[in-house]
Amino acid sequence: MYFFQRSVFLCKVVIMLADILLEIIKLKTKFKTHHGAVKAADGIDLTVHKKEILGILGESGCGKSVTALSIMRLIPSPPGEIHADKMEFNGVELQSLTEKQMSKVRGNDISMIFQEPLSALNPAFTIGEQLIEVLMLHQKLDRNAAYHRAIEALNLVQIPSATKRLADYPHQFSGGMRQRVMLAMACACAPSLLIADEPTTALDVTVQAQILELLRQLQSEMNMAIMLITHDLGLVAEIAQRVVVMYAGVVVENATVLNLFVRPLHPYTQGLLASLPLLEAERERLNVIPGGVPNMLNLPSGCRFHPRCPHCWQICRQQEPPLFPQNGSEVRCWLFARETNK
Amino acid sequence: MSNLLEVRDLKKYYYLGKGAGKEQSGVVRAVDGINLTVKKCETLGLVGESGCGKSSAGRVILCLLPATAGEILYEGQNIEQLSHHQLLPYRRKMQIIFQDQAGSLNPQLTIGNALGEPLLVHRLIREKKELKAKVEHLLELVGLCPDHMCRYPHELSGGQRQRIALARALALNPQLIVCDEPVSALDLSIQAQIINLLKELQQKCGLAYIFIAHDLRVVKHISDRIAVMYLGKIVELADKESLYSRAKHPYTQTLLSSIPRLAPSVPRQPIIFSGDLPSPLCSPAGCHFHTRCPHAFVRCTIEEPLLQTVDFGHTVACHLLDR
Repeated sequence: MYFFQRSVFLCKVVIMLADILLEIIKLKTKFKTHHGAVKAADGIDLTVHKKEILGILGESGCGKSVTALSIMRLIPSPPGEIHADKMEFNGVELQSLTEKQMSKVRGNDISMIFQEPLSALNPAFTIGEQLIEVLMLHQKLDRNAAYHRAIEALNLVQIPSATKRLADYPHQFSGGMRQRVMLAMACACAPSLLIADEPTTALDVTVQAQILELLRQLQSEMNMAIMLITHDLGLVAEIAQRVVVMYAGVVVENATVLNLFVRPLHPYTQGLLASLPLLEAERERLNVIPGGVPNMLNLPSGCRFHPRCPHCWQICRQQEPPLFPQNGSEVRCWLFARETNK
Repeated sequence: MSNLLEVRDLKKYYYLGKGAGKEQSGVVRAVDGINLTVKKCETLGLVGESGCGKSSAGRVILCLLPATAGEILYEGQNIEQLSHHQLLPYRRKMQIIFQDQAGSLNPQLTIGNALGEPLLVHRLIREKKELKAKVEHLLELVGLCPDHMCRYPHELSGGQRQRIALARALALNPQLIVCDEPVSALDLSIQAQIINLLKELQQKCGLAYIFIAHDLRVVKHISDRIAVMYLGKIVELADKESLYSRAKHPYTQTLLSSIPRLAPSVPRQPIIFSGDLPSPLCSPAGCHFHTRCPHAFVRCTIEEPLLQTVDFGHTVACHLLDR
């Protein structure tokens, strides 16, 4: 028991000392619409450590993709508007970079893969041409060197007969293979952060298992950090080390994956976990979080989750809770303020 | 209990390139000889990877697509042969809901009109007043309030639209509803609401479901029996307890092992396939699964395995059973 506690303590120390790769403080991304400004991300605090797999969990419309796109500065402006108190990547403030410098960061240091690999690949070019373009642009290689690196990249993501497949067009690949090509492209320049936005949502479970295994391998081989955006609790449990749960544009819980699944703190996280059908046991009725995700144009007062929350009390309706630290996790809920005050 | 629906050796082939002045260039055997039964008030789950023919099977069973061969017996009557007119009373008893709730509702019809349409088409309603009351009742049944009647589909959320689709399916008092991936496009918290609603309605209205899905968690929760399909064929059929605890077919075992577990502390080793689903245009000879099967031997490449009973109500098509 002592050794166990000791090792847990050491782990925590190591995590605290580990280098921070990306630190975001109060990221706000607004979209101007005819009906008013939509605050898609409303004060997101996020840190990604080096070589870490961070899961970002949330339902559609909670701002998880917007956060990723804001980091990459891929939000069209107008209508989008990005502002953060701090957005530091490897010690460099991303907001101070010019567009030209930023495009060097994209692909070289931070890469991104998307849910739908078919629409992310250009249908009019072979995947060889697309891979070689990336390498020539970012690594300043000549065409011949880039060609060989492209074959290496395809081998890395385990695409059989890579040399031959370089000449194929995206439509000639299956869904899983396309996602592998995307991964090859994203990892070709050995980025230190890979943002994967729902990388397996469009794939079958068997193919999903392949891609997850590949992600895990790439992560350990290339020493990169992965920010995995998903709505699938199973996926997060499987691969992530730390999880950030988002709801309606804010972070509601930030915990290690073990803490999140064993002792979920925020009522929203608890509700999500209880609403999932179990494989191991039988649940007669699934627990339901009443109501739906709030309209981002017309957010509830106070805590954004209060209309759906079973533990809602007076202060929840009036004041928005900050993130409270709780046993190594962070949780945005007044229930924990009450405990610390006592 | 008597069988509500029985499907015998059902086949659905799609012929490619056949048309004006074109030679037929290939056959996709989407559904290749499946046998199924559905009892009253029962849920039959139909699972498999995309492209395995589960949606085609659902549509052919409802006679929305003509079958290439085989029989579909609804309460003993072969409905596959019936004319459009003769089929009408059966259409009333068998309904379908789809994955894409937005696409399955007409954007130009208010919810009230959309729900009233089946009632008018089947001449179940004579007066306007009656229609309004019936639509209100339907909305109540799926947990919506009557003032949703004059709204349009775009004004509703995904979960609400799926409730409307369900209400429309229920309008004609069906006995069987084919649910084609009804919850896969919904958010997690909404998914649970719809699944609970489906279960409640099943008890209230005595419905049988054919539940087509790829999410094995959801299928386990809602189904009584589950059929696993691979390239147009059923490879394993069992009640859910035996399927999830004693899966016999290597494909089912792989499917089950690749579901992400919710316990991050327990390390596990999923069985990982090499390669993808073969193209249904040229499905492998012998056992369709042998190209990806870790246990394949010579016989699998030549001879197609037949479904055999291993346990009460548990059938498997695999040569390994004879070994």
